[in-house]
Amino acid sequence: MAADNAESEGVASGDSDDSGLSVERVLTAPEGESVPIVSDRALPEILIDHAAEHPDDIALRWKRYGVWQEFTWEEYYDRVERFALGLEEYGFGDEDVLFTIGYNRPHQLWAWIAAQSLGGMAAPNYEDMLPEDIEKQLRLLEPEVVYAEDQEMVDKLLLVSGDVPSLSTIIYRDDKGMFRYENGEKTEPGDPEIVAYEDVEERGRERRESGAVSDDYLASEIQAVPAEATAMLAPTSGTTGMPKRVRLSHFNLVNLANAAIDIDPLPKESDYFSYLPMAWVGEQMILLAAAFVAGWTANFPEQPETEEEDLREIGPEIIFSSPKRYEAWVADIKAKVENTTRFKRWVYEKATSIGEKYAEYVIGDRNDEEPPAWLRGAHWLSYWVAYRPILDKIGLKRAKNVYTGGGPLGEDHFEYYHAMGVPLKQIWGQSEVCGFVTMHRDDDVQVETVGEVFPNVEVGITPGGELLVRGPVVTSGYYGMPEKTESAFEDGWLHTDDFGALTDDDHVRIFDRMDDVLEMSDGTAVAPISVETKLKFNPYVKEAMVVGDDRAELTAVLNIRYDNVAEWADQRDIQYAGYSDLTRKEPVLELLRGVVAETNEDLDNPIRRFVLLFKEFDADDGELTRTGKLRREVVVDRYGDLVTALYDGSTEIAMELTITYQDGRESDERGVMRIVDVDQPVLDDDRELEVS
Amino acid sequence: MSADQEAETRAAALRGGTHVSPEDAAIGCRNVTKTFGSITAVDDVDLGVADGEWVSIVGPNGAGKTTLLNILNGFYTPDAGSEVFLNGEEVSGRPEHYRARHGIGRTFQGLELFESEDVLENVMTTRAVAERPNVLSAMLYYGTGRKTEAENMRFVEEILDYLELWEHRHTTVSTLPLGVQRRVDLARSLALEPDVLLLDEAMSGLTFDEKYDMIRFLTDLHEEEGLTLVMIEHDLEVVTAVSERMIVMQKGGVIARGPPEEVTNDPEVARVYTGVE
Repeated sequence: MAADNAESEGVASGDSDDSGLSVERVLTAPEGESVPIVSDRALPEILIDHAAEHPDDIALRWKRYGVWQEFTWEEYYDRVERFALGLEEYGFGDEDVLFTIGYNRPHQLWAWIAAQSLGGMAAPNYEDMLPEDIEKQLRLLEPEVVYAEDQEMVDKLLLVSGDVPSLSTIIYRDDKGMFRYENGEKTEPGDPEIVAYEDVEERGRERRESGAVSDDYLASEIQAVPAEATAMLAPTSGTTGMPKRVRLSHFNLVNLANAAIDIDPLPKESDYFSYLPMAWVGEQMILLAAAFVAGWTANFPEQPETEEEDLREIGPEIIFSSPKRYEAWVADIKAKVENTTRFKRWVYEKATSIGEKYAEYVIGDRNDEEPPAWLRGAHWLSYWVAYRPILDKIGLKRAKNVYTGGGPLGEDHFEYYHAMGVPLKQIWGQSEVCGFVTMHRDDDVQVETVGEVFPNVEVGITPGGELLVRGPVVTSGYYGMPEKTESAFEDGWLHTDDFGALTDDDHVRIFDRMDDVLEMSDGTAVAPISVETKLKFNPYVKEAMVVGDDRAELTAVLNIRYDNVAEWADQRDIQYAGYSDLTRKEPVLELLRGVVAETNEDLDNPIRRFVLLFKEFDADDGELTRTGKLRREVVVDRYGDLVTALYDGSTEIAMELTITYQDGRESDERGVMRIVDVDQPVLDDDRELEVS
Repeated sequence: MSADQEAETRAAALRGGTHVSPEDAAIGCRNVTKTFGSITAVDDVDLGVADGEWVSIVGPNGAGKTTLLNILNGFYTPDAGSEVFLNGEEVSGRPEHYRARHGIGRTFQGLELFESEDVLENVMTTRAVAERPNVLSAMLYYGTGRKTEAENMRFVEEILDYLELWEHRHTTVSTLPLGVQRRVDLARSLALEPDVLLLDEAMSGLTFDEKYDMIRFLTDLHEEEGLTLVMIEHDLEVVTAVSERMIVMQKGGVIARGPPEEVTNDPEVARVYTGVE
């Protein structure tokens, strides 16, 4: 299927590069899009400009004590200045690395820009990383100073700091529980100095007020930062191993921001909601680049647990989420509709049917036609009666620039959002290109593509179907890994390792990672991710891994979406004790058999058998990346016996697994799983339950 | 001294008086007795809890633990001759609201929460009890009335933040799991800014994780804020891990008191708990 597409669309006639690398065709931005390249601006300079031009406008909001606390551009610069001057007192300077780990807070952002103002760079990390992974990153980056959110993160750092001699100072933001560190109860001689964020700021303030540095000291330091200096060391997703650190310069980020703003301009008063992990390049490209340069207000939730409520309160114009979040919203809406009153369900179903017709004109087969007047009227009514209240509940009521990236979102999901009137767009990129190089344009959203190329960027394709990128957003290389840098670049092009195609109308299609494409025993190539996204459109499937490399048939390992399946089971009086038990219940197996059978109707190569894994795929077990991407190689290796059982005629399989917890503890879990043949009902006829 | 003599001395110490006199204690009582008809629930108990100390009261059901707590915070009036002290002041004749305003906070085994109200309303209501703007300004929501409410809100939000109740702020209490409801109960008692916190089985019915959370909060309150804690608790493992001293009650009286590791090794205490001689 994927191979067919690749063969028909991936190979187009075009330029051939003179160099050793064979480039079959090159795409650039659509005609008419032109953005000048800026090569003399560092990010902190833009902050100075904002603070000078509109000092009293709101730059940031952070919900604290139940109230949105606001920070103007002037205060933003003031906080950065104080922290930078304090940071210098801890020996931080030119080309130093500030290692940061923490939740979405203005403080982490201030710390990044403070480090950049001193000529240094920020290396953000996922807050739920295990200590051993933190240690690997510390060894690679060798920072002297670390910013950590709270006691939990300080504990993880202390656990591994003995093996990282460079580490001398840990700066913590949240002082809850930190009194034990101040009195030395929790620290040992030789441990790094542990200091509060406010104390660092206070030292900076004292330096300025005592006259130790002049009032314009930091501004002059900022002027001396060259645009090509590294601003961020963004981690790669690490699907195939330890995450690498991508050098993103001020030049990269500023030019990315200018291109993004040119394609989708919004007024300065617009709101952005920052809730994706700050270590993810997708968050950095908006928070530190697009929103920062455009002057949009960035809003930070109170806590990870309050994100949904906080998002709803802000109702941002700009929202960028991972596919998982969009999938979860759809699953949540569908599950809630199933449990609502009959009347409301009827209204929703009517609206959905109108929305689906309308979406055909926006992103479907008829997108070159105008929807008829009756359909426009019906959709308007559906929007106000059904969609708007739903969008209000999830915080998308005011959303104008709505993006997803970091992985593919299924076509069904795309249609669902456009049916509701949400102008969802797919972007494609990776850490090495500041997050994105292609994006859908307003009037040309083609769900099977990832849109068109950014201004000033070129996307090429090799005869083998690998996509290549070059342009001002491309990194200069990996930090501390010259050999990886060398292998990533060839003749000025960045190898993306993504397998795709360039369409006749200049869109880019992505099928899968080069290494992930399955080749079945008859030679058919299948992009597993396209099958998995179809499965995940169902509200009962949270995660799926399709298997079939070198096999005659496809099979799948599934994770149920626990909340929705549990609610389904509750309504049918099915007794269960937790996730594992629920995956063994026959009615649940039958429910999921129906889901897979329904998905098979849209597949050229159907899934013949599947198993419901007795645990969820988990980043702590190395099965997912910290951004939630499946680490296919790890999973196939870990569940080798399970995969074998899916093909050797077994009816069930018992497995023992070691589960890792957040704090590094481990426990052994045993599970027995039934292998379900999609063509064989799980329940006897007389026990059949309603599962639709 | 022979081993027998040592054991006797230790046993005598465990059954001796308070290590701090009730008058000098953060909270204390002397000769407290409470009878309900023919039943003597608390029988001539002396107690002295030093400022900043964490004391646990253990004992079988019906030993008089909750009655003692109710006497300390003024819910029950003890029999004549009983004396209760709060920070050196004799408060035997003072009502419970007086004691609440002068530093005693209290959680309840049975969770006396406003179940149909949300978490914020539950804690705000308690906080409002502690404040008394004059009637006119409160009615007009003007001047001190308005200022007081803003200050109260800020204080209550700090408590919710401390106890990590952010996501439940606007959730109706009756829909919350027991572990969260117990945290709300604790938040409510903290809204009165107590110096001494009386906890009546604050971990009863909680799962392992919920219990762990509760201990974490109480330890922080004790160590960071210097709160004096008097806790009724059945889980001896928890008591031994967290409290500085423990008191064992049986049939209304105190049968042992001292450091937990000594008290739990006392044969008399073992007999009360296990019935084994």
